[in-house]
Order: sequence, then structure tokens, then C-alpha cells
Amino acid sequence: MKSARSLLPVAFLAAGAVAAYYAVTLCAAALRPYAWEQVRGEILSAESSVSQAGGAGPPFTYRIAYRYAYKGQTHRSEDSGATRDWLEIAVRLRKYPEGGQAAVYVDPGEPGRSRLQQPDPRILLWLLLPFALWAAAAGCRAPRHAGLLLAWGSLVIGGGIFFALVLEPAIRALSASRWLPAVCTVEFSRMSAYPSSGGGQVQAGDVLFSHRLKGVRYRSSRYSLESPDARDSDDEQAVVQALQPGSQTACYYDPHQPEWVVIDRSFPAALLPGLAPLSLFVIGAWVLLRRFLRRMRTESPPLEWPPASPSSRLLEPSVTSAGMFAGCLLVAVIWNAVVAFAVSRVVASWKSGDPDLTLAILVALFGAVGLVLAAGVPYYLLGVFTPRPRIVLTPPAIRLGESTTMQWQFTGRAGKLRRARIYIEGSEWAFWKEKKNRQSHRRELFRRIELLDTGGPVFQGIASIQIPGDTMPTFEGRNFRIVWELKVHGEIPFWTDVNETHRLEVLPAGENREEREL
Amino acid sequence: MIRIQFSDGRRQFRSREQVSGIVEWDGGRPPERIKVRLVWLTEGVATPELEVVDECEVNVLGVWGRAEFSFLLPETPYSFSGKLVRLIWAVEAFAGEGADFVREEILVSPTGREIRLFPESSVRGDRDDREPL
Repeated sequence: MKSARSLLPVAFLAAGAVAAYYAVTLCAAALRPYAWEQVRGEILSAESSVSQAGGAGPPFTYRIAYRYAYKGQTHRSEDSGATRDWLEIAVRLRKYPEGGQAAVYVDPGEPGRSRLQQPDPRILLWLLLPFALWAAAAGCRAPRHAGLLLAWGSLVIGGGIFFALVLEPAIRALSASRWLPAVCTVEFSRMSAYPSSGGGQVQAGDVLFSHRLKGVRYRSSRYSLESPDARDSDDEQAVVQALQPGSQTACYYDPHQPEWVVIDRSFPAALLPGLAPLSLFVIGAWVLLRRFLRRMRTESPPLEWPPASPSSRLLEPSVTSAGMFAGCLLVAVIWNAVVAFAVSRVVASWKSGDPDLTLAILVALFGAVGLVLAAGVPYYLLGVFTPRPRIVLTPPAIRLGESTTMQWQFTGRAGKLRRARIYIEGSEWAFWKEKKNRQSHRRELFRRIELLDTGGPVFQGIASIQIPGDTMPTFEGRNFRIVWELKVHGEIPFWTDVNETHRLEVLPAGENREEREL
Repeated sequence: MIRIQFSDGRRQFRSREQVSGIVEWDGGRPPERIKVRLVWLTEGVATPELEVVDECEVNVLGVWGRAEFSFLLPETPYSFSGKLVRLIWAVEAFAGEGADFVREEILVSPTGREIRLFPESSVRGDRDDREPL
């Protein structure tokens, strides 16, 4: 009889399999040109044009014609397109000058099909999704290792996203303060209608300005360091109005890559959510490094601690403090990154003189939740450094009406403990579905058995567990459960207390105890 | 009409014991067969649940007759009542859809009484004075 708890990892596994199928299919299709053959080609012509007339479609177009020979046959092809970002064209024109040589990638099955550039390998980031889901499944199966899996997941996913998508624009934005000033002439500016993702149309502004450096004209359509597609339409309206054709304005260019020219070189607000994957990466690396260093240290085994044997069992917590911290951090980082992005939009709307009050109220509400989540991070971080209870049961199984010996000890900074309590709770759980198929549940505590209360700084000892025979053993139905848990609470002055829960499997009374006659 | 009678009239059992008895039928148009099953079911706040633990079929050869049945009880669950759920064990006999159906409750517990998770109350207040079967 499977419970929802045991179905969760299966659900994650299944979702991971589906995600893997789609991610692999997507990546395989997109990256197929990497299997094509590379030959040398000749650039026949490299042209660009600017459509100054208003209307639909991007204003900048390019066309690069080239020729290549494959298996004795000569083929001609071209690379062309339209864009709102002149930088794409500038980079292409520099890389593929007319009359120059270039690598051409040819489809061996269809030699007439070729391309000058390989696809963007960052599409491989989609492969992280199934791994994240499978890691979640593994974490559900083995809660003890959930923290470790989360750390690895944070490292790989946060690092993957940050290094692939955020690092380069962030470095450029930071180095822009050292770019050189120039005087740019505005060639044209206009507002145009572009199809929106919702099916309608959206107004967007396009500008083109240029400056001369050592006799070469460098053009740019980037008002700021953001891509034109990432800018807000209200911002663009103001930019288009400010940059009238023929006017001159101060601009800045990258002396190492002169095709990078902008008017506003301030750090783009759109990069702030990029702190989320960076935080994930740093936290994941920190947790793993700390774990590694701890393992490197030779820990002397605790005194009076029994050696592991088949007749005893070490209890594992349902959720580790590292898992709680990582979970809280993950949610807080993602939540607050989204809020930070929304805050930047609110600030922008206030600056533009047309404040968005609805968004501001929403941001205030979500921001309050973000603050609570952020406050939880240091709380759970302190929890990572609390002493850890080790509890060994002999015999390993607990049966109704029978005695089990519990040996307990706090490891780590046990000297910080002021007092410890260990107790067992039995509870009944009921599950039902309400309207709209919403799952509800209720828990009723029916038994609490106090095992020990040290009353002072005692860090280890032995106690006896006896759950009376006139109650229910652990049981899981489809819609109800009888759950037994062993709870450890340790008080630490001015620190996060120890709160650990261990799920117990309480078995029915054994044969030798059934001497009573009905 | 179908009736269930337990061996020695016994209705209290412990885990892994045998539940045996006879199923009787008489009167009216005889069914082709009667299905007898050992079940546990729940009532209370949680979505009701019914688990068929074991079942057997009895071939009906006349207008009236009787046949024996025997089931082995599993180790768990016990008959219990809490604030949210009450679990009941029973033997059921029925002759098919829309035909005769009879359910006789039994008690499965190591103590001889229904396990009460909360001594002071139960899932159904009007049955607080329930005596052991």
C-alpha cells in the first residue's frame, strides 16, 4: 500500500524521465550540426542594411554569401537574418569579411546544407532539469543524504546557469566603468510594433548611433548594456524621444572590443536575478567544502559508544538541519531574486514619472514574505552547527509492549547544550479530498511518552523505550496513518535549538507476548 | 436470505488467527454463487477505505444450504478507534450486485478490546459506550 510519501520519489523519477526525454530530444536536434563536417569556405559578400522606414520587423538585416567545396563539388550558400541588435551584425561582419576565409559546417547527408556558425551549446542547460528532478527523488528516498544532494544540485545547477548565462554579461557590466568615452551621432530612432508573446503587438524602440575610431565607423543599437529585447517599452519610449536623428550624445566603447558601444553603461537591473544562481553555486560549494574538510579531520570515536552490530540500529533523522537550511536558502534566494527584479521595475516606473501602484503593492506584499524567508536563512544556518544527536536502538525493532534499549549521545558542539529532552509521539493522520480535488489532512496526537529530560548539560546516556501493548503499531492506509516519531529537543542559549525528528517503525506485539487469552 | 455464523460464536480474534464459520442461505430464488470475504474498512474524517484481505466463493446447489469458510488474519491492522478514524474488521457475504448482502463485524486485537487511541473519546461520540464484542 503506497502512501503519498512513498509516491513522491516515484513522481520525481517519472517527471525526471519525461524531462530527460524532452531535454535530450531538444538538445540532439539543436546540436546536430556539431556532427557535420568542417571545410574551408570563402566569403563572397558580407552586407548589412538599415531599414529606416517604420513598420513591422527588426530594422537591421545582414546577408553573408559564401562558397565551399565538398567532395569535389562546389556549393554556394548564405547566412542571413534580421535583428534589433546591431551588435550581432557587427560581430558577424568582423568575423566574416568579404573575400576572407571561414570554417563552414556541412551536412554530409545533404552537402548543399551548411552553416557558418555552430549552434549555441548553452541549450545543454536543459539537461540540468532532469538531473534536478532525479536528485530530488534520491533526496526523498534517503532524507539523510538530502542535504548532500541539495548541495550538489545547487553547485551544478547554480554554477551551470551562472557561468553559462550570467558571468560574461556581469563581467562586461562591471568592466564598463573603464570603457572609453566618445561622441556618438544618432543615425535614426523610432518606435515600432513587434508581435508579442501573447499574440498581440508591443511597442518597442530602436535606435542606431555611431562614432569613428581610427578612421573606422562603429555602429551600435544598444542604449544600455542590456539587449534591446530585454528593455522595458516605457524606457524605450523615453530613449527614442531623447535621441533624435542627427543629434550627438556621449557614449562609451570597449577598447578591447570596439563594436561594443553604449550610451548608458550602468549595471543592468536585469542582471540582478543572476545573483540567485551565483548564491546557489556558492552555498553548494561551501557546504561540500565544509563536508570535505570535516571528513579530512580525524575524529576520535566517542567514548562508551557501542560498536555497530546487526543487533542494533542507528536512527536517521527524517529531515537534516543541512537539508532544512538548503531548502530555506533555495526558496529565499529564488523568491527574493524575483522580488528584486520586480522592485527594479517599480523603481523604474517611479523614475519615469508614471508610478505603477498595483505592482508596488504586490511587490510590498511579496517583499514581506521574502523578508521572512531571508530571516529564516541565518536561523537554519545556525541549526547546521548545532550538536547532532546519535541514537542507537537495541534490538533494532520496537515492538508494542516490549522493551528496547536506547543509547543516545550528542556529537559536535555538545558542550553548548543546556538541557535535552527525548520523547516519543504517536499520532493518527487522516487524509481526504475537498472541493476542487484539494487534498487535506489532519493530525491528532494520541500518545506522548517521555523518555528522558536531562535537566542539565548531560550529553549521553541510556534509556529504555516501552510502548504499551494497548495501542496501535505503525500503519499506513491509503487515507490514514498511524505514525510514531522519536523527537529530540536540545536547548542551546542564544543559538538555534536542536530539533530533530526520527520516524519509528513500531511493530505489533510479538508472539512471545501473546499469552493473554481473549 | 444469507446469514453468517462464526465457529463457537466467537467474534474476537488475535492477529494471524483463523476466522472460520458457515454461511447459510434459504428462501427465494437461489443465487448461483455466494461470495464471502474478509475485509477491514474505515469510517470517520478520512476518506473511507475498504481493504479486501481474503475472499472465497461458495457454489449454491439448492434453495437452502450452508457452506464453511475460513480466513487467516494478517498481523495488522488492529480494530481501533481514534478521533479521526475508526477501523472495523468484518466478514461479508453477498450474492451479487443488487442481491442479498450481509456484514458481520469481528474484532481483531491483542487485548480483546477495540484499541482506543484516546481513552476519553472516540471517532463517534455516540458509540463511546460501546462494549467489546
